Amino acid sequence: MKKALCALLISILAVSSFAGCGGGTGGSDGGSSGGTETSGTVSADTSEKVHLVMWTSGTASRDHEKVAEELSKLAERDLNATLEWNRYPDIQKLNLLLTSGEKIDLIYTANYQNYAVYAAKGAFNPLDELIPAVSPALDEYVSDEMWDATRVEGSIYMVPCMWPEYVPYGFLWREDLRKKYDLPEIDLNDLSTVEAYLDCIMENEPGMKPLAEIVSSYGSLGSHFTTWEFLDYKYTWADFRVPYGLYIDYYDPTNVINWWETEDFAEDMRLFKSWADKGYWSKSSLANTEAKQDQFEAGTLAADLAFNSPSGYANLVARIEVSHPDWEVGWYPFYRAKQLATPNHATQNGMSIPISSDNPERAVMLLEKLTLDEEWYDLSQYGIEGEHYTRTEDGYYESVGEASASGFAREAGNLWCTRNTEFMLYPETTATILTDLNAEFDTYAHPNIWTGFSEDTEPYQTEKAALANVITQYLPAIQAGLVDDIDASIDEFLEKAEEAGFSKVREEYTNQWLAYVEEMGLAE
Amino acid sequence: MTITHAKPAAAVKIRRTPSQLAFNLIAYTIILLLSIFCLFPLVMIVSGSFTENDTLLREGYRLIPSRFSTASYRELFKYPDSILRAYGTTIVCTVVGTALGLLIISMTGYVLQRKDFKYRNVFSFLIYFTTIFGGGMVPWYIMLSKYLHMNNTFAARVFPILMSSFLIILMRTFISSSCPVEIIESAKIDSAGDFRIFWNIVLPIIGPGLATVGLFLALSYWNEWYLTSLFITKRDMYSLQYYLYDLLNSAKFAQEMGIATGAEKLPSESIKMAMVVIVTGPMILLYPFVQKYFVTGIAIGSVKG
Repeated sequence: MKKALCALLISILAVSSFAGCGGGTGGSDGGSSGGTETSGTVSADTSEKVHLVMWTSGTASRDHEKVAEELSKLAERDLNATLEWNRYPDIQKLNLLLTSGEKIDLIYTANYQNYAVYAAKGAFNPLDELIPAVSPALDEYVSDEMWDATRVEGSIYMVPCMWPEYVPYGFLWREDLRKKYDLPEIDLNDLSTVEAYLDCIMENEPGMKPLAEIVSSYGSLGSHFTTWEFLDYKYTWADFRVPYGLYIDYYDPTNVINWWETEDFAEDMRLFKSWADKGYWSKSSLANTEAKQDQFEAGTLAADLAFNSPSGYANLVARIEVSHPDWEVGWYPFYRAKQLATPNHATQNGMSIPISSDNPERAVMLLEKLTLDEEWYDLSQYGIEGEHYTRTEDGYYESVGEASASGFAREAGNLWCTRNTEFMLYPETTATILTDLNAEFDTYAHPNIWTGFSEDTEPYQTEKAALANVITQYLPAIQAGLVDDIDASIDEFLEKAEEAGFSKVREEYTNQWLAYVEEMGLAE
Repeated sequence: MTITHAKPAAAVKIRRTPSQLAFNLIAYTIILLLSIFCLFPLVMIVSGSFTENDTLLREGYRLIPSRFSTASYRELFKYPDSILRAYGTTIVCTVVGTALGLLIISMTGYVLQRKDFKYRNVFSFLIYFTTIFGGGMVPWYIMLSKYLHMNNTFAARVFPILMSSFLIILMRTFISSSCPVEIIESAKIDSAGDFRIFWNIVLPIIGPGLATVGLFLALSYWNEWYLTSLFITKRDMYSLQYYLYDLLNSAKFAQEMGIATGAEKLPSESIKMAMVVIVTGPMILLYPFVQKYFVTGIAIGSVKG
């Protein structure tokens, strides 16, 4: 009996370890073949018909397969290949796809989906030689800085998106109400304008809440009250999302400050407490989950401290024009307040060629077509012309029929990685706002330095999880000003955080960050 | 010759003493309150699903919709063929999966509790072992997708959750406690084969066990979305839950990306309530029919007298 059990255990372990190896060996096989092919000088040999598989994130639209079929026809014509276009709904599926060694030729990857981790583990083909050899056009299209920003341990593993995307938060308010009560113009460098507006709302608009900030989860970083996002207006930090209460100055990235322990932080929290005491948000805010935007559009909310992205704003304006033509909406992006705009990092959107690909060369050609060939671009981004969209005389995008019912909405394929300024079509309603804002941001844009960095949490996994729990438990109440004594609460919070292993996490993180700064030459 | 007739039962009037009356009164009140507590959220959900979305955001939930609207249902059934197909595949998967699962689980449970099966403990242990140690997610996925080629097949929605060790152990315990070895022996003496014993003797006795396990199985098939998200990329094969999840997601996406504007705003809150109604509706309707098995099963034993 015991013997049988032993044998069984061993066999199970053996099987599972073989399964693990299966993925690994399959991977390295693909790697070596990819390597030999790339070293050859012959490019673009399309004599043999192949089957290409592409995966992008999200779930399929109703007409996804139809568009994919049309795209496959183009592939047959131009690349002598058939194309299968699938979607992965979440990061877990992505993980399975990459670790199981499934045959994939082109896959959407991004820093927020652990691009650097997968690249370092050898999940993708290195592109340093492959791209110039197969597609000089693509090599030239992507700028040198962008190529360099995608490097992991010295090699390039993704073709980044060249369309600069700005996604700042900003203060959102009802401009028509401000005008109605003849209040000073909103300027974030003078918070009294904001307070005057909110006070006035409290006094004169009984059916309306001034603010409705909520507790929002930042995944493994714990939950924060959304006033945190608002502070982005005043600090020239590399990014407000820098975790563990660290402050990395954009202009001096080697200087890492323990922000939660500074007087600045306490000062900010006191401001929020004064707002909470005035009643800008309700005492039950910590338990509230209602979406701010829904309330704003329903007319029960006067302002949103941190409203995300120019496109979000442009869309809001377009929707409100129809639903409440008498309203006017204002949005003050935080970039403007500090005169520092950082577009998305190169690794925010990109395409990689997994090591399991049998045809890395053809995959590169496919990517070139999707990015640089207008016919391919329009089909893959906007669907079938006449059926899903039309191009207006002025060159705007217009969806056919009711937009929300479209079988393939604008950019429904989530091919964010191939976005190309030259071919991009905007809907008329949002085009002006977006181009104006982007033009403004361009004037004070600086390259993004932080989002390309991905921490290795391995050395402090336990502490990180414990810290996230402490953050979730103590911080939101402080950030919402719903405590009696700010300073005492911060002290208590920091004490608990310390018990959870705060110093270790910060130390490790800082070291990794400084090494990254060194590697990327960010310290000038 | 006088025959003393027993008094007909109906004629016996049970006299209700005041204390009994008081007990009944209290008991009924408590039960009534409890059922109101249970019903209350359901009614809120149904009413919420029929309320206009903006009203819901402004005034909150009410027992009776203050502004009646069917917008959320119209949104869900915008493409009737798609949602009906999702319904259809989910019903088929639930029926097939539950029937097949019940058959296999009950056979396994029956064999495992037979005292004359020499290796029953070894097999029980093996089954139990998997609840503690598993191969992990990635090998499991590789097994199903690479070797069993289950991607985009209905098999992927049925087989992975066909049996679970918990249900097998539950069934084994149920059979061994409700179906004494004497019955099986007597059937054997009457020259019944193993399958005949199982089919004609054991199965009818373990009705309540089947109902319990069947309900577990049916629920897990009905609520299945995870397998779909992993193995199915074809829209036609989505399960109902995943279809609804996807519907909400893509409508939100359309709204955020600014393609949907104005009047056709997604009823973001009420549509969630409508989804709950659509998904739980059939289960609630089904429950009363299954419920009687729970009751009768517990009441009737196998060995009488």
